[in-house]
Amino acid sequence: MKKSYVILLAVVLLLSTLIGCSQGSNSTNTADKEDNASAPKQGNNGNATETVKIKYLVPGTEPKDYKEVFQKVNEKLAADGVGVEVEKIYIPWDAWDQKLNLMLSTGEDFDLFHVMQDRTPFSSYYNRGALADITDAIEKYGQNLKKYIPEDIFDGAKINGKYYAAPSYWVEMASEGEFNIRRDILRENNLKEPATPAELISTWETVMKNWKGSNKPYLGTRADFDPIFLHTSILHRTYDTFPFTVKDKFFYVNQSGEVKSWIETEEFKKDASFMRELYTKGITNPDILVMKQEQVDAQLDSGEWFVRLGTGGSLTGLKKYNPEATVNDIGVVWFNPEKEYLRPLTFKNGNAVPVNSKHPEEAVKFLDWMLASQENYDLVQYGIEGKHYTKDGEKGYKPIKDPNNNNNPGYRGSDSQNGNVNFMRFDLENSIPDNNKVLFEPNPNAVNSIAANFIFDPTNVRTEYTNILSEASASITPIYMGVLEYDKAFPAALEKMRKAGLDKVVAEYQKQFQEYQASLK
Amino acid sequence: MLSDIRRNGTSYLLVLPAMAYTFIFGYMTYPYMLIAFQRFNYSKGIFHSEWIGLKNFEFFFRSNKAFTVTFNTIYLNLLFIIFGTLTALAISLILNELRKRLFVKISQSMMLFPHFISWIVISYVLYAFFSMDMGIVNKMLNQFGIAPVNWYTEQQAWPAILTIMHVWKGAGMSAVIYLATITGIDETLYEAAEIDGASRWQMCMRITIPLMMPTVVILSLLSVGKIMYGDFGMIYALIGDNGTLYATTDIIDTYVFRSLRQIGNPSEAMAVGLFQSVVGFILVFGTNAITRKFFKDGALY
Repeated sequence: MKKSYVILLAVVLLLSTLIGCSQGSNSTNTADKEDNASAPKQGNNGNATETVKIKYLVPGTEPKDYKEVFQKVNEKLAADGVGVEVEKIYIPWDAWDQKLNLMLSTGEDFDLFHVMQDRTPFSSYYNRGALADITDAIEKYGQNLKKYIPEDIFDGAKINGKYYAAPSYWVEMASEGEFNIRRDILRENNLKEPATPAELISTWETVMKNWKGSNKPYLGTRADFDPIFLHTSILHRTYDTFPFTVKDKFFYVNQSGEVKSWIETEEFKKDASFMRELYTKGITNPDILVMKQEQVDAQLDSGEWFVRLGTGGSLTGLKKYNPEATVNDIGVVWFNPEKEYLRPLTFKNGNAVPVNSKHPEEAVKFLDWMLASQENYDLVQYGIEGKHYTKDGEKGYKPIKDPNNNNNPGYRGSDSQNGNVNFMRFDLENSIPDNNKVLFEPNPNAVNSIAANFIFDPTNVRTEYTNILSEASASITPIYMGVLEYDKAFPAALEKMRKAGLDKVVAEYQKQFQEYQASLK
Repeated sequence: MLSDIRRNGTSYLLVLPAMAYTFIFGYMTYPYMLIAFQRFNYSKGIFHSEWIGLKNFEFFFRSNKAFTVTFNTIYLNLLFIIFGTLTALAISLILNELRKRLFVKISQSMMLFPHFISWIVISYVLYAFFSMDMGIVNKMLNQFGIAPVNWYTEQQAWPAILTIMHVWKGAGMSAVIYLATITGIDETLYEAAEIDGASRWQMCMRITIPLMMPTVVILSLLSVGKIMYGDFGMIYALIGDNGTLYATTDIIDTYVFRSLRQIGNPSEAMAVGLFQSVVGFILVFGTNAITRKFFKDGALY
């Protein structure tokens, strides 16, 4: 009797060990089977097409009604004769980089994945040989992609003249350089909108002093040294040398094509002294260096904030601090609004096809189909009409709250993953009009940075590049966040950056940039 | 061998899952070590990627951080091992001497509890202690008229803070193992000592501690084998991206994670992993050799 228990236990243990391995291969088998089993269908254009199932990897958690919505998506795809069936695979945010890298390196079977350039530039995947060339597929099946994504933005996804990604044109990148301010709090303190960095500091000081909430309205951010990530680029508009931008964290590039090391510029010094003032005047949280993203988000959610670099905040948040707040209480401010508007890069998010995919054409067909009609777009982004949302005029929508889903709609797609400003709808009651305008309306006067579509390949200086990245987060971040004083800490920090190989990387960057410019002529 | 398997079939059967696990996740992964010497290309795979020799090791060894982070890894782990073992030993001895069973049970459970709290949660507890505005420590300093300290920029304080946190979290668990060893000691030894008129202190010093030494040594040896592997979960949760503390707290694992988070190059990650394994291997052999020479019972092999 006892012996049989032991045997049973051993078998169970063995199976549980092996189950992890078998799962992966099982699912691919079924996928293959379905591929073969699906009957040929008559397409709209009269050609016989076979339905191909593709897998699409995205970061995040699966929405409650994902299955229901994507069943409808697949039905619509079949009805339109696209010949593609899509399965979306959600990977939790904290596991995204690791899991994606693993799946790419082991050649796992999937066909499309999301690219976030502010996290990992698509060139970085390209340099590892992870991306498929989708030029032909885009030329053949990407009419709508070409139609609704401007050419200069599409060019950003090119390497050596070939497309390796399809950008998402969901945000106007020229929004870089503005900040959000709380108008209700300005009114409460009888203050007017600041027009210069000095005014911003003095206004903020007053607000801090009079603050009634339990948590102070600190500058809400995590520590970093990249002005584009931190949106300290708001200051750059006040410098005589504007327009310029900071590309790839380390490189100052102006519109006449001058490339130099960013941290060694006067502008970096000015930024650092502004941040130092925020820190010494108690506007930056004294524990800024250990702030976690959850703490930053919690502050924004609690409505206890005054200024946020870049955009952020929601009406629900505002109301927690000020029950009378309206959507117009978040305003957008640009220093020197008469100056030029610059796009530091052309696209931030996009989708790419892994090199091991067997169905690159179908992946592109699916991306193109989403932009083929407002109906398709609405289904993927907002779910089923009447269940997840109702239309609110031509450009608006009302989300339907689901009590079984924390009072959030049971389904919502992702603007950043698949959005397009030509099709986007807005929650007219709750979203912030000023932010919608600056983020989602194309700015016809904006110009691209001349380095916007330049892609740096660090292969030749990989050791140095890796080293300056980690050295900068150790020694440049505390200076840029104002925790350490520039005059005292910078010389030693620069010395360390030089030792880590900064000069060599800058030289390589300059060389590649010149070659890039020459190739344009 | 075969007849032994036939005789103790069930026991071998129990080992089988562990063997399968080790085989798949241990030995089957060996070929992938090759990528440490390659410019690994996803589409070409491990057998066709370009061979570049030791180039992947350069990013680590040519950086000015290699020495610091290796030193920190070993130094912090030594602190953890020494203070962790001493505290666990002390706890188990004290618990063993206590006679109120209920009290022993309760205190043992309470000491075990921190083991189950994640480092992320602890990082918030730590923040409550050491934050500038609201931190308990600074409020106490304030009571005594001492100016508040911005602990998150005081690099010298952190090896001590980390050691305290590590010991607090892990000592209860290790104490359980030591307590089990004590329970296994032959009762007749104590009876004999009692007849000879030994005091409890003498029994502890002459019987309990010497008989615990093999367990202590084996556990320490196992820890030394992992000395090149820092506690990534801990350091990353408590220190995170706080650059001002790196000089004393940055370990190989966090350094590599930060360096490769963006670039995500598996070859370089493998190169550093290989370095850690080789040094760990040498250290286990070295310590075991020393133990065998001076304390034969404690050696692993």
